[in-house]
Amino acid sequence: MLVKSVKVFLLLALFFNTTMVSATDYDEDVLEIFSKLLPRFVIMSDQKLKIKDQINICVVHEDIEEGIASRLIDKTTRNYPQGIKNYNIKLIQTDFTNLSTCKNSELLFLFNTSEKNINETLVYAKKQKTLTVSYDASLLANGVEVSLFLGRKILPYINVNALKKNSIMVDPILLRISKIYMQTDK
Amino acid sequence: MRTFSIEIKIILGVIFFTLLITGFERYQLSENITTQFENSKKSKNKLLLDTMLPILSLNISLGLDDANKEYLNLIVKQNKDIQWMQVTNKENQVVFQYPDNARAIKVAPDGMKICASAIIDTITDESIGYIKVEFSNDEYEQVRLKNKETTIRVFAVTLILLGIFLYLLRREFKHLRKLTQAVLVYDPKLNNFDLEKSERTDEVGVIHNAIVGMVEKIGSYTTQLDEMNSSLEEKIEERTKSLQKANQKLEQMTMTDPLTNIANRRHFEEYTENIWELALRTNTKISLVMCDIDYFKKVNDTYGHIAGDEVLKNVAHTIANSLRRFSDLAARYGGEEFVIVLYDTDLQGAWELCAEIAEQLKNPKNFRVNGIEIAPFTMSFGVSSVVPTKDHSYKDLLEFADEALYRAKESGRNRIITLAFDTNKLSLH
Repeated sequence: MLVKSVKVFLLLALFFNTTMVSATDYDEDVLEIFSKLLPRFVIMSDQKLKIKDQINICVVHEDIEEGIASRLIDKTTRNYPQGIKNYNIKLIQTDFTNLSTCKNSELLFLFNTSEKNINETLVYAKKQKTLTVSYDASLLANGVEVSLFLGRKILPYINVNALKKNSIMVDPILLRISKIYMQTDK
Repeated sequence: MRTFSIEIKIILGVIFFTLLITGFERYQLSENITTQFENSKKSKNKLLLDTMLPILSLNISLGLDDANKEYLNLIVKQNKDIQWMQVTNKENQVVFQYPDNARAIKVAPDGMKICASAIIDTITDESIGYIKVEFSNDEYEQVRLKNKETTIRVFAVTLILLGIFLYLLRREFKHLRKLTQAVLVYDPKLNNFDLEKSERTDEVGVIHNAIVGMVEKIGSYTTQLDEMNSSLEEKIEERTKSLQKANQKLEQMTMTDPLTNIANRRHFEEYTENIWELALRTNTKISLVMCDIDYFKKVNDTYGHIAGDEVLKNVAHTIANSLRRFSDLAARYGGEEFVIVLYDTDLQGAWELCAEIAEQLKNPKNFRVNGIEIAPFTMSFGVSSVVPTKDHSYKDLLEFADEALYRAKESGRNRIITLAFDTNKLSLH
């Protein structure tokens, strides 16, 4: 009976792991780069026009990745203890089911999640006209605007089509140093 | 003070000003070229840094070290004139260096060879690094070398053109020199100007033709002048001869008695004074005869003054013809009185001459006027003779002859009386 119960638990665990939440290995260095990137993306895009008194960045994650999200927030806070360009940086941590907390954010950072969550989030972001950045570059195919290209070197990875679609403009310098995502890259 | 010819002055002036202007222009152009090149090089370097800095800034601020290095390597690869580059972070640590093993350059940035700039975070305005780049000077050196070559070519061409100009100038002056030489040796009398009229219409041709025309006029005027001179000389010669004749005539007139045409008293006195001096030097005897027509008033009264004049003429003629030597002189002393001076003649000789004259006067054929025979008449003679001394003059001798004549008149006329000057001894004949 016990063996049967363990088998059932393992099967359930496997099911949840593969269909609901697929756990990801997050690289600390990449997170460090993201922590530096996120406020700058806001400043270097027309999202800065939305800034009132502080920069609001919403880190959206699965519950299971709350810890890694916290680390990203910590890194960002550490990198910008005084904020950036006279703006304080407010980082909000939330899961995909509670996107309304990101209502006034200028940027949504997306950890890995299901495709359904991604699409819903993107619809929300488009509605709010908020810049989306994902840890996983493959999400650019879904319409996320910015990610990181992790190749021989690390570069910002920008989905220009998505930017156009959402009418978000970015600084040319940012484009100059970035890798441009093409649909064929998928 | 040494003077230079106009040709030399022009040549030196042209050389000086041409080289000065060419040199000045070339210097200015050269300076402009190098300055423009320096400015463009500085602009280019600045543009490169201005292009790089935002990207470096973003890369560094985002921590994209690999991307940063790749970007800088790409910059170095694309810009061949970058010889050295170093990028440091805000902790002054070298984050990129090209070439890897190169030593740091401590030369201060000049914007051309060395460029440097702080890397400023465009968002935070913080200095997040420093970049220093050394560029190659090869292009600059090439420009300078090319500029130098161009300068040499320009000067070479200038010198060639200057040489051609000077050759043409000297050729023009050669013509003028030839003209000058011809003018200098030109002698109107020799008519040795051998240059023909020029067909040139420039200034040199005009000057040439003006001089040739002037020489022709001078030749023509010289010929006319020569002809006039020749005519004038002939006239002068003719006039001189006339004048000489007139002078001779005048002299003759001053020396000659107009009626008898023998020497007058004035000439007698001059001549006797001279002959006295000569006889004094040669210790020669001089005799002096004074003679007078006896009863001449009666001749005038009988035959008239014209006949009297004729008598005087005939007497004078007779006396003059009686003289044998060139040194003897007969003169009309006044009225019907005559005087004869005889050089190197003693009393005897003088007496013989007087006797000969008296004899001829006795011949009535010798005394005819207009075919009318004049009755014979006589003359009285007074003769004196002396060897001159310094204590006496011819006037003393004349007084003696006059005294002898007086005594001849007193003693009955028609006779010859000699009176020795030294002994004062009378001799009556």
